Amino acid sequence: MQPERLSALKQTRLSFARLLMDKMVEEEWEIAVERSDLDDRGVGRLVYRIETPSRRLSFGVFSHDPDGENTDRIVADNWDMWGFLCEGRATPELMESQFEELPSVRKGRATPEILIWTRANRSSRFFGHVVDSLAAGHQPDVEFCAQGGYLMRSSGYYGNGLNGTKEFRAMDGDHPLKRPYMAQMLSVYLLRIFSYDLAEHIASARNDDAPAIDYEIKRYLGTGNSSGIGIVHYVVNHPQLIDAWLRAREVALARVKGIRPGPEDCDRFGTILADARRWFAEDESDTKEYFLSKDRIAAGLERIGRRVASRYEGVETPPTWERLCEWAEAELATETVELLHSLLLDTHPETCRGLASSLTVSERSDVAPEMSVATLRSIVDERYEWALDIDLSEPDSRRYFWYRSIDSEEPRLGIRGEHDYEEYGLPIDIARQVQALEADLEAYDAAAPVADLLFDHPEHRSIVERVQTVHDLPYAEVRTNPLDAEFVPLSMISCLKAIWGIQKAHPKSQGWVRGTFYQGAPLPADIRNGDGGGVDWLYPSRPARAPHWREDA
Amino acid sequence: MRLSVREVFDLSERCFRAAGFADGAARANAESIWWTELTKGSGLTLLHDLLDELQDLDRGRLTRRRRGAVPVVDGDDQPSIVSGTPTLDLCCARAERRGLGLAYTTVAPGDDTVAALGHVAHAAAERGLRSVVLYANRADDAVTITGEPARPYPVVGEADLAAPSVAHARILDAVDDGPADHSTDLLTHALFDGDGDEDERAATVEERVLSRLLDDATTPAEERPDVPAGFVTICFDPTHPTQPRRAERAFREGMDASTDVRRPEQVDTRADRLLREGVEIERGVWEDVFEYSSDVLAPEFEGSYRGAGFEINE
Repeated sequence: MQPERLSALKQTRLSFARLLMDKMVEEEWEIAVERSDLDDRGVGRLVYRIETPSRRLSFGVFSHDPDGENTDRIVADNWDMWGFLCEGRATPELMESQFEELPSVRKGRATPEILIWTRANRSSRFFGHVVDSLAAGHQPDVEFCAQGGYLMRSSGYYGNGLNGTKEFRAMDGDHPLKRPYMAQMLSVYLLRIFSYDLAEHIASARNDDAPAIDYEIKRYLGTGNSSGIGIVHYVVNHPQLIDAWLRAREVALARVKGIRPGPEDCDRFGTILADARRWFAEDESDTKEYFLSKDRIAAGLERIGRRVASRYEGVETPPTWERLCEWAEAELATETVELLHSLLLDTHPETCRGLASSLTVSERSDVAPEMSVATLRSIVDERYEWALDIDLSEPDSRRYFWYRSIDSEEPRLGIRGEHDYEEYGLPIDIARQVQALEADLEAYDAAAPVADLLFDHPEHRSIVERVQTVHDLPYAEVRTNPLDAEFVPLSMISCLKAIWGIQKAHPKSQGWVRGTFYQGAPLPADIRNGDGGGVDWLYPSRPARAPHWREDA
Repeated sequence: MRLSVREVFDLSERCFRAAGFADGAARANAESIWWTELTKGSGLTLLHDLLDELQDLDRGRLTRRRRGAVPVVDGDDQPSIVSGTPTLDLCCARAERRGLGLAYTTVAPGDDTVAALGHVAHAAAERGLRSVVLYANRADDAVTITGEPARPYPVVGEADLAAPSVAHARILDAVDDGPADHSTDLLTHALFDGDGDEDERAATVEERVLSRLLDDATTPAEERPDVPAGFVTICFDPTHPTQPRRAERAFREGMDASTDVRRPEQVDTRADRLLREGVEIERGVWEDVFEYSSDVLAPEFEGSYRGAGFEINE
């Protein structure tokens, strides 16, 4: 669980966005506009109906006129849309009540049938371009749109009990979204559909003859996402979930590495690899110094292709995929290796079979007060050696403190000794807590129960409970010090985004990542027909530029 | 208005953190609040009533000493919600090692958090232990709580008494009398003092002790109004070799004397309903609790609008 490795992780078949899409296609969900009341500027309300085999869901949207340049930060008080995903119908009464509540990030109240609240902004560059193009009677410039890959971008999905929303635990056994992050991912997908419908509506208001966005362009674009340092809090505070999610991936990976591929496997791998290579080669986004550039990933994939051609194709007894992975570890950048892992899982989808069920785990925990001090010390010494090895006497190792602002509870970073509010610092410094525990344990008799220590040092209760609970979970702890001057939040942000299933990730800074979900994913008509699941949509090719796209724009 | 279950827990935890409790202790107290809401529908009201004095609550004021085998927790002027979990930890640690653990805790006279004390028995049962908690504050404010492991929730019975229980008074006397090397010795000394009905079915020392304890735990000691404010916690590990096999029956019979019993299926039904429908709360109560809980958040300042922190949005 080194941060550098986590930073390199890529989406896989077990990522939540993909699990949801597979389910939607397999069950042929129906998504349609139920009612729309938008004016010529696209301001108004709109409700989508989502029919699943077990129940109906609705997505209610409040669309606003952009007023200046909105930011994606949580502290923003102005958004281009607010929306909510709920069970059953989004009645006019529910829409009215949520119109009042949704703007209030902290105090607003959802109802128990509401699964998600979300807020989003139109892309200042791409949304307007698409509307202008359609209003001018032609398709948008897909090459221009490809620079972002989306028309609308959300920075947050609030659910699982926040603001009174329905808790994940409360979902019935046959609930269509009863898996981690399914409700969030459905909201992500619906934002994509809403962005198209909104652009077409505004264009139609300007020009009765405005065309709809081409099917291929709609397929190619996705939903934008913007995530910041709040994810670091999440990753540190949910070790059991992170362990379960990464463990499933590791199990699938172990299964696939043991496979000795036949000719058909190699063909399939080659096809997926070629799609992925083109996808990354076409991606012109700036990865700054934080991620590997897309063309280097594409070059790495090309080398993998050559390696497979020489060592696997036409070979009577080819090696297992593990040999390819070992070669990649030695020869290629970590991001490319992780992409190889993702491609192999897509080549052998059967290796992920059953593992989706292992992604839902309880986070319950308790202290074991009867454990002896000697046993606890032994666990700390053995399993938290990484934390004990961090030199916290170095000033730079304690440079930052993490806290939340009362302003929308935005997670923030401060510099110790320079910025105010250190007293609001949050305990995400696992290494420091472990070291403090270790120091105080020395004062106790080895046979003494941990209860004695907890009585005298209630400040250790949280870390003792954590150590006792997760020390045997191999993927629970990220071995890093978030207080350190060299800490790069992107590592944890990238990790969680890969688990969610993001396809593109563009760092805006060391703690802020934008990206896209669902580029290439089936549209509602495809889903209704059961078309386009699996890996088929994942690395879409850029549609050809439509003629005369620019002249009238 | 309604809160999600998660919000009840989160708000409670934040309130205790805002009052200066360390994270783990704040979570433990939040669990007591949630248990009170789940089983009695009064957790949030209890939290609201506590807000004015929350700043004065201080986990650090608790001290411990030993009288022979018995940990004695000096609760200073702190209410039982502050001392409940640390006392339980001490008790559980001894029960899991020796089959039986006993601890005595003093609390603030006028403690008004006793409604949450049943969480101690609940938490012991979640750890697989049977427990008896004997509480007294004023002469007419006493309760005996009994907890037993069960699925999906423990069984917790509460018997309101008109006076401190006989068991409570006798155990305190035994603690004061002097050291005993083992909690069973202390209970034997305390409970087999004078005449009592013999249970012919009870064969071992532990069975006799348990039977007598459960009888005396719900019998008011009218002549003992002098019992100081505090509670005795006794935990039994049913899997320990020393523990009587017939304890389950004895506990069930003891539970019959309770005035209020939370049975697993009842709690489960209510938990399910609260999870689905939310927890009802008066808006004014919520606003007070919400405002108090917000003290864990840094105040708004000019820099809030420039970025989320040093170089993060730059």
